[in-house]
Amino acid sequence: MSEALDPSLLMQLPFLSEAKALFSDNGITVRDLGDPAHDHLLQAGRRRLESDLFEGHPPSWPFEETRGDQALSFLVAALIAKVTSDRELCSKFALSEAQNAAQILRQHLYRSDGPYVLTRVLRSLGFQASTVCLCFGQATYDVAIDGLDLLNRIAPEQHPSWFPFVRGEAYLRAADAIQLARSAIARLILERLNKSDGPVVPAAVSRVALQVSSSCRLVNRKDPLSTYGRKPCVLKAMDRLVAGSNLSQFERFLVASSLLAAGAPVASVAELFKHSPDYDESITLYQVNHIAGSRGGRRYSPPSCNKVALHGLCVKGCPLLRGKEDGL
Amino acid sequence: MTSSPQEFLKKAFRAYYFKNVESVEVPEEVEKREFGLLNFDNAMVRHLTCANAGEVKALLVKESPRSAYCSVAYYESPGAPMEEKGLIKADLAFDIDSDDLHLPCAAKHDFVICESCHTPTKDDVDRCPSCASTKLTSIHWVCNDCIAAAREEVLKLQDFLERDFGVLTSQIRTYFSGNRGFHLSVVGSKYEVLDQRGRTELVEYLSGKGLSIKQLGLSKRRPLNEQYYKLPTADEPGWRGRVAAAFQSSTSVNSRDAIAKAFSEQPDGFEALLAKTVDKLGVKVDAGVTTDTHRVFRMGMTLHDKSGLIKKRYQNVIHTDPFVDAVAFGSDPVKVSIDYAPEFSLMGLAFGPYRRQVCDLPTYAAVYLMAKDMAVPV
Repeated sequence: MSEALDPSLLMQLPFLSEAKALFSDNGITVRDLGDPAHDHLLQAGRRRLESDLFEGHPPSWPFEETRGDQALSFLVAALIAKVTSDRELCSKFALSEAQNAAQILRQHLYRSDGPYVLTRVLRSLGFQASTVCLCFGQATYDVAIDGLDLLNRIAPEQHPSWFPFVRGEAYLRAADAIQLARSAIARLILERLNKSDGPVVPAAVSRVALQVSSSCRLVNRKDPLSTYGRKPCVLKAMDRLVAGSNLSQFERFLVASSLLAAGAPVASVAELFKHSPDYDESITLYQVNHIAGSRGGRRYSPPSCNKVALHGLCVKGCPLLRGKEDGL
Repeated sequence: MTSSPQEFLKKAFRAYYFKNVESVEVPEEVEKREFGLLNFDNAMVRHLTCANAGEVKALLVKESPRSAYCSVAYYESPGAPMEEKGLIKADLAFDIDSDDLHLPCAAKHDFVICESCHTPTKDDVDRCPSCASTKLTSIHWVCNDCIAAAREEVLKLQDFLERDFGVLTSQIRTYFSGNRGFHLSVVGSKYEVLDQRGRTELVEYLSGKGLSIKQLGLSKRRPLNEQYYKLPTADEPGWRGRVAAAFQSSTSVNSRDAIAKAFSEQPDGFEALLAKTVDKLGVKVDAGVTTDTHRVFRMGMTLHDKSGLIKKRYQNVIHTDPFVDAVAFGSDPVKVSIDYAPEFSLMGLAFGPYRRQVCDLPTYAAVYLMAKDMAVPV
């Protein structure tokens, strides 16, 4: 039995370390996501992330993209999720992707190489696993896992006492092994998303991240910051900024403080201002850091609707107005 | 001149370490361990390091501590503050305390003593029946039945470790804890790298947590004859096999018949019966000890501060009597005054009960009572 996983399966399990090779040759970088020529990738990532967050699974396959683009959409979705810095959002994304992977593994079980693929995936996730076909009583076990690995990484919904341990090795039925894999995949994706350093992303990615994060918060309605990024006034100002308009100081403050409040990192917010005609990197970084509170010790909150309205920036039809004509 | 119990114990412990320091067990990779000493002022000193076995022994002779501990963990910098130590790995440590076994003998020998007038009482009271003081201390005494029950737990634990987890007999070290039970250390196994969560799962496995009728292949919703062949057999590994063997041993039929009969007789009460069986089969270890990789554990062949007995290593616990084997001191008579002490046995001799009396006791018995704060030298 071949050790390597089939590339078409790898494309469906893009978080595995072996899948990296599939992406390294296409020449697309994070910076390219700001290029309109690659907007379809950004949109595919957004669609995937939103489907994960709101539907609980990635979009139904197949859709118009090629399988390669589908797999890339995972990376872009993960990038967008990371840029939001929203732990709950990242967690939902990871769980949904893990659930999807479990479904793929379950479907694969009906194929003759199913158990081998399952074991191979478990090994790729760092488990010492092997395929077995053992019967104890009437129970059949398909996968042997090193007892140490099982204890260290057992899924939260499982108990080790459910599995026969024999001299340091635990035996699992395929369904239990898939549950274990699902938990490990979710943890793996989350660990990668929580790694401190992320790339500086183009403004287009920040904007999408902000929109997705805001939608997510609005749906959850738990976070008092929920409205910031979704406010039409902020989106309108961002659109003008990206289009190269010279924004007023207040508009710039509105955009920066709203993005920061929605969880965007300083570097990504500063990157957005590159479109400004009077852009100066050091001044921008200084000011964004100041608003974020990393300089001066005070973190600035986004301006209230009243203040936005006073500056004539309130947008008609804003869902936050709740029947009022404008922010005032 | 009469000395205080603390001074007496300090002198006795110093003499023990001076004479017996060579028998103290120095842990593997001593330079990667953290040592901790509890001195006679009740101050715990941790983050001590020793470069070699000689330094450990010198430290014990010099300090003659009330208790001597060593980390279960191996660190990159054992002397550094906890967050900077750099955990490499940790032995598995198990503490089986008879007090946690809720034995029937506890009702006979455990008691509450008033800190003001030293009046003992068996009753669960808020105030001393004699002086009405609220300063009461619960005393958990230990008897041969307690040790026998703890020994049973040790045997169960050894079986789990070897049969289920593949730990070699040579990797298991079993000790009388020096007071109320046993300690087990697993040294040099693959489980050294288990993290705290993994150790919690291990403890849960040992206790059978999470086992339900579903794991036995039973469901109340389906007819029993459809489930019969899903029931466990006694030769299966893991918990299913253990439960099956337990049901089989209580009847003359095979395990499936025994489980099926018990289930059909009381389908609603079967879960409680299973829980009782699992509780009996599981090992009751102190989860806090096993899951804490930063724990310092009493060193082998050192003295227990609450008894003056040795933490004694056993190759085989079956035929042992820690109340003889772990006695550290001689039998020179010591005159002591005792407010109250229940019956106890050491070196095969029965002592007590004592109530407000002065008597001559062999040194080991006098130390035993002084360590339990029940006697003062006269």
